[in-house]
Amino acid sequence: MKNRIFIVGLIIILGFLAIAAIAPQIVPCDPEAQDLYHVLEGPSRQHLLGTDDVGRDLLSRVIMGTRPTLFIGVTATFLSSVIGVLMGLIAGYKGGFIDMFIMRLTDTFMCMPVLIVVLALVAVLGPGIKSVIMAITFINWTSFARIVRGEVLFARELPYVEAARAMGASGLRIIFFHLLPNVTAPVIVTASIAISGNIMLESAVSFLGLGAQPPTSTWGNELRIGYSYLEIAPLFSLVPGALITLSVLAFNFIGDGLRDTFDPRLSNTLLNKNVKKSEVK
Amino acid sequence: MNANLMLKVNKISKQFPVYRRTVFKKKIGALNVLNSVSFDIVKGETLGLVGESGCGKTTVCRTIMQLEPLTAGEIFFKGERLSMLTKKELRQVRRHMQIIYQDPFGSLNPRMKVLDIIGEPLMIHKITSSKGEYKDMVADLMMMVGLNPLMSSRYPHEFSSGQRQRISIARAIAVKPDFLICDEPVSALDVSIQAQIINLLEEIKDKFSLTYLFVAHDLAVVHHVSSRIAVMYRGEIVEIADKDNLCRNPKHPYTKALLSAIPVPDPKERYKDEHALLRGENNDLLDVPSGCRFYPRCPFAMSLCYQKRPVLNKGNHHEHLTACHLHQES
Repeated sequence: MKNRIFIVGLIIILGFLAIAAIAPQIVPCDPEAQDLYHVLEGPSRQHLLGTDDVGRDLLSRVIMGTRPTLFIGVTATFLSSVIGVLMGLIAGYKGGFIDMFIMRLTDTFMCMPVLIVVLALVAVLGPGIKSVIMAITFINWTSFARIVRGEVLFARELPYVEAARAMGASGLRIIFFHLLPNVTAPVIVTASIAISGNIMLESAVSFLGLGAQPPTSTWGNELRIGYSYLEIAPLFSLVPGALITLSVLAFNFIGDGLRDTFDPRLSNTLLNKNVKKSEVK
Repeated sequence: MNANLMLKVNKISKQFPVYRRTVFKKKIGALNVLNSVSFDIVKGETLGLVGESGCGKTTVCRTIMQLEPLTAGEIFFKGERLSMLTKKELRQVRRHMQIIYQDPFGSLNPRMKVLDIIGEPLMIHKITSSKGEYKDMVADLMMMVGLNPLMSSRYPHEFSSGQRQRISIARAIAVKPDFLICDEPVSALDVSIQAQIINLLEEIKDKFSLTYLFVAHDLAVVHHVSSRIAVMYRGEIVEIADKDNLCRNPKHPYTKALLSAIPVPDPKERYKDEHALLRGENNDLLDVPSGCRFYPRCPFAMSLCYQKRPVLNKGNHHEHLTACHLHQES
């Protein structure tokens, strides 16, 4: 069951990625061409999803919006995982004061309300895709650091890590050859779930008007403008909203599926299977 | 100092603090894992170290390898005091001192190929830089320990435990060390494979003129490989002697008990000699008896044993030493 959900999530994400990759080629109309005689229209043969408040083709804008949305979600997650993994490796391997310092730092970050910090940072850095990525990375690396540190604390006591120390291996060598491979699985799982969170965050920031600036379209931007015309042109906000939901769900499915394969202890399905088997017997 | 001396362990002690976690960490006691342990190993000999589980055998190995800091005492390797070395010097020393672990499953990184596991010490000590030479050296090492060099691109889980132990041995001898610590290298193996691995270790010893510290809890194995044997009990060496001396003429009651516990294959020979049975168990490590550590279990305990802790008397390298009031005339 979980496996099927994983496949569904994967197909959806691959679909989105494909659309994002060839977006300029498949858009039916120019996403930035305005047509002020046909604003806020319903679906028609020419505009399959209707038009927005300045008469641009909604379908084309939503397709083009796939790009920045996914780009921000994936890039911010990648950057925060790189920073988080490095910090976690250092904290776990070095221990002592450095460990305490990094962990208290992550505690501090985790106390702060995410959306408010991101909004404040974007306001300071100036709205735009780059600052959204930076702001999300800034707040998001801590969860990676914590997970990696926990894994490293376990892994550094493993006999083969000690064997490497006895051989005279340097700290860097131990960290990258012996400890890092041990943390990849939980990091991948966390990352796939973090992407969905970051897409939500990006949409929220865009919805509040601080994300990618017009005329660039992101799903959050579309949602914000469409929201004011909810009664006249419901598709204007429903479609981007549904797309956000769909991508978030899909990344969550992937994350769940990955976790089940990498760490079967946490999965509910396995437990359920065992229960059923014992019932049959 | 004697130039022949490979390793000198001088009164090393190791304590692990025991904490109780309330709001703050509070030290409530200390676990005396090693208590003033001393022994020498001369070039070319094999010192066997035996004792029951938890008596500190592995801690001795770990402290010698500088994987665990000492609480007291010092260790000299070829006359160099290990605790005084800088990181760089320590790395140089580690080239001459290697360790083989007990657990053939845990001591190899499951995500590395055998080629890189065996070659890792070569990389660390920058013994070769050319890729071809590196592969040749690993292939030589694999042949030396009885593995097919064609298997070098496999992962550890594809090998049996005996083969894995051969991989560990190849990794240990890759840098051509002088001194090899074998921390129960055969305890996790089947008896038939134990024999193969022991033969391999002896073969390598001759080939590279190595010196061994051989740890085990099986006296029969230790007797076979060692030239001298040290017996440990609860963090102390209770008896140390040449292997034949120790086995034929054990002095310490604990050694006698250990020897009597070796199963005798011939039923007619069984129970012929006095059977020194032990009372009780090796109980709480935190609760160390005053006086001799062994007296609660000792069949010959006297009142002196309750009061005074016996120490290993000093003597020459090859003397038969024991820490027991029964054999101390002072």
